[in-house]
Amino acid sequence: MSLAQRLNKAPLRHKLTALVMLTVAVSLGSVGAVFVGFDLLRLRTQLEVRVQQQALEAAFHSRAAVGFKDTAVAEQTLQAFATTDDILQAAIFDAEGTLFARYRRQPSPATGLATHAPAWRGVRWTRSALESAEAVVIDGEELGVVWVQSDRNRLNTRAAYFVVTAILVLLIAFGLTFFVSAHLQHLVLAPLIALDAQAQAHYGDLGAGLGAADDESSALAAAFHRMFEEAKSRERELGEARTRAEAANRRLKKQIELQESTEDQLRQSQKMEAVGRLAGGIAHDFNNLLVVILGFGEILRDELDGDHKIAARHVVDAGKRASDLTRQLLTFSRKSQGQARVIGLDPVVNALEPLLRRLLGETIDLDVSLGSQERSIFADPVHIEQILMNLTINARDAIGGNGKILVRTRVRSDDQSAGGGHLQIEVTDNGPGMSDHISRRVFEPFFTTKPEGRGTGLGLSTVYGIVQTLGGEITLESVVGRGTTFYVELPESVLTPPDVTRSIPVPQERPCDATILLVEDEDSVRIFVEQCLVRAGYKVLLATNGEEALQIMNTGPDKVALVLSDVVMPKLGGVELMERLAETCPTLPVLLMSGYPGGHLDDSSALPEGVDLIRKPFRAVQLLERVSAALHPVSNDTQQPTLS
Amino acid sequence: MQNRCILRVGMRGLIRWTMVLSLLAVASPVWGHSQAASADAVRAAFIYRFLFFIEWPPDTFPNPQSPLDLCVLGSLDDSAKVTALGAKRTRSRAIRVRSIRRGDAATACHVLYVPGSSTLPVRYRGLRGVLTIGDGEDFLAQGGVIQMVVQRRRIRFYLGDNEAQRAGLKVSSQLRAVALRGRP
Repeated sequence: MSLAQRLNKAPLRHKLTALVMLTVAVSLGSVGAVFVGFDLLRLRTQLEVRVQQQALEAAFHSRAAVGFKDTAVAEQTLQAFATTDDILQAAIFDAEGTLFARYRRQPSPATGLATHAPAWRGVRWTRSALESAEAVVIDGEELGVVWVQSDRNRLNTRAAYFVVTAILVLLIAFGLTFFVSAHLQHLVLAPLIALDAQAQAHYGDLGAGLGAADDESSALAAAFHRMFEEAKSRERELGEARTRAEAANRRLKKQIELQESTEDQLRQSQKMEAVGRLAGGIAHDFNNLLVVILGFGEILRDELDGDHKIAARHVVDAGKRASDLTRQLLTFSRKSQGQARVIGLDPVVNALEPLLRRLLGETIDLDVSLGSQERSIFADPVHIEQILMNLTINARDAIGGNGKILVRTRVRSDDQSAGGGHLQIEVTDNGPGMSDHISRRVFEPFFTTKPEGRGTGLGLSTVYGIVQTLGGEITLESVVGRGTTFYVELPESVLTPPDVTRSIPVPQERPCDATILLVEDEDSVRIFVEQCLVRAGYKVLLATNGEEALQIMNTGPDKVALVLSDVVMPKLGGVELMERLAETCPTLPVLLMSGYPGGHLDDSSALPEGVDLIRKPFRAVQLLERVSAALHPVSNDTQQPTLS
Repeated sequence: MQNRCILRVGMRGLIRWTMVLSLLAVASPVWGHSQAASADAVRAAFIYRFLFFIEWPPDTFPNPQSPLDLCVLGSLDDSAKVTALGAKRTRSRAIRVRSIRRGDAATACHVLYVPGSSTLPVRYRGLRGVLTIGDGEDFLAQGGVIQMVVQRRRIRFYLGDNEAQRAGLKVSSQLRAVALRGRP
């Protein structure tokens, strides 16, 4: 196993110790080298200066001796070097270069003595010594040379001393460092080793992981790597789960919104249904009363004179207004079908335009745009007119001054195919608009924002009722300060409208002596109708409900030419009676009187042949007309719708 | 045969010795003269060195460049080597060599050299500011400061401390160390 491999395998604490010691060695070594280097350099310079000074002094003091060629005195001068510890030998040469005096330290050094005067001056280092040569000068004249040789050992000794000291210091430092790091590394490594132990316990021995080394750190690194991988994978899973959850949440929100909207619609429709039921109920009773009021009112009006006649006329007028109100209520409660047939939408609107202009007045700029492309709907044109009039009047009242109303018809944009689609009537005003709170309640009966006495609160609810009856839908968009738009969507009819050139049935004068079976549970109404019929010359049989009527029919069915029956009655209602009669006397005409058909009749068009309906309240004239028509039906095939 | 050999040897030896002797005869005056000339040169050199190691009283020279007067008793021709010092300078002073005669009034001399066995003139004895140098045997006794002598074929000198002190001269310790101990 190589050293590198062994180092790799070594535990982290050994590595740390080695690192610390290496650092100490390098730092101490480099610092020490610098200091020792400087010191040795300084010592070298000092030695050079010293030996040169010795040479210069000797040269100075031996001037007279050299000048007067006194060898003894010269040698005596050189003998002064004996007091020094580093001068090995010295010599004085005269001007001719011959040896004049000399000094040798005892014991004599191994190095040889210079035998002739050196040509150089100053200091120089030889392999074994430091030498200096200085001239002996008197009065500017060079008389000789002093040569001094110094021991180099001093420098070597100093260097050796330094080396030994450095080694000692390093050894001590190493020892101390080892001691300290061995004790202190625990502080650094303990958490790491604990972490490693935990990682091992968790993941087992991961072996040589990522790093080049093979110690705790590499095991830790492997553990961390694995941990990161797991964390990444978890994060990915989490992200996917979050995406799924978000999608589910979105779906849920959508569903909740849908549900809330549906619930809202349901509540609204339930509310409208309840209100409609209430209004219908009231209207029914009212209609019965109104039949009496109007009927007898008209009789009084016709037969009285003077002030009484006027009073009776007022009664009849009030009764008519009341009748209009109840009709509106019934319309709202969707129980009034009117005379529905296949009609083109645009012709109806077009025909109504002049009336609308008059109704709206000069201050309102009406713009009519027709675009339903000659498509048709199945409705009573009166209902369409009511829708338009109510909506435009409502718009006018909302504007309250100068403004603009746009009436538009069109095929609903997503429903371009002919037949089975929807046609749209759009009424837009540039009035003040309304708040959400108000817009939610506008279709409620008797809800009005107009000043007291100005509006009945029935206009928009009537529209609502009509639209519901026609199987359509009404919505509105309103922005406060910008205006309001009502959208009426009506189902398109697959049939085309018949030609308008139909023959108007001409009432024929017929004898009014036929027998009529009158079935009516309300006494006052029964009396009024009976009086009308009797006055017109008819014979009248009376029944208070369907069962009585059937009994009468069973006893003498042949006499009865027409059954005039109320719809809502105890025991046996008008519709059931009609059905029973259809079995026994299929050809017998039936005229139903309805103030509130309720659930008995949903669609006047669904009435079987020979059965007609007259709405309460009616006046005597209207009743007689319808009775006459029922007794003498006119063939009017042209009124039957034809497939396009 | 043996005689002839001896004779022949004797003839050759005779010739050789004759040549040596004759060479000696020619060379001896040259040798003697050369030796005398060398001694004079050394004396002149000594005198020149003395100037370096002696310090005159402070008021002797007006300034450091003032020339030094070296007087020689007797003819300058007899002391040619000393006279040649006139071409040199000592401590940036020019050296002026002059000849004085016995009986002359004491003139301004900084150094008085008394060559040979001549005695120091009385006027210069103990004269302040004058370095007296002589070769005579009793020159110190006559009041001279430095007396040069020949010992073992080498020229050496005595230094009269009292005389120097009397003349107001400061003598370098190095010069004193080189001088002969005691008095002649």
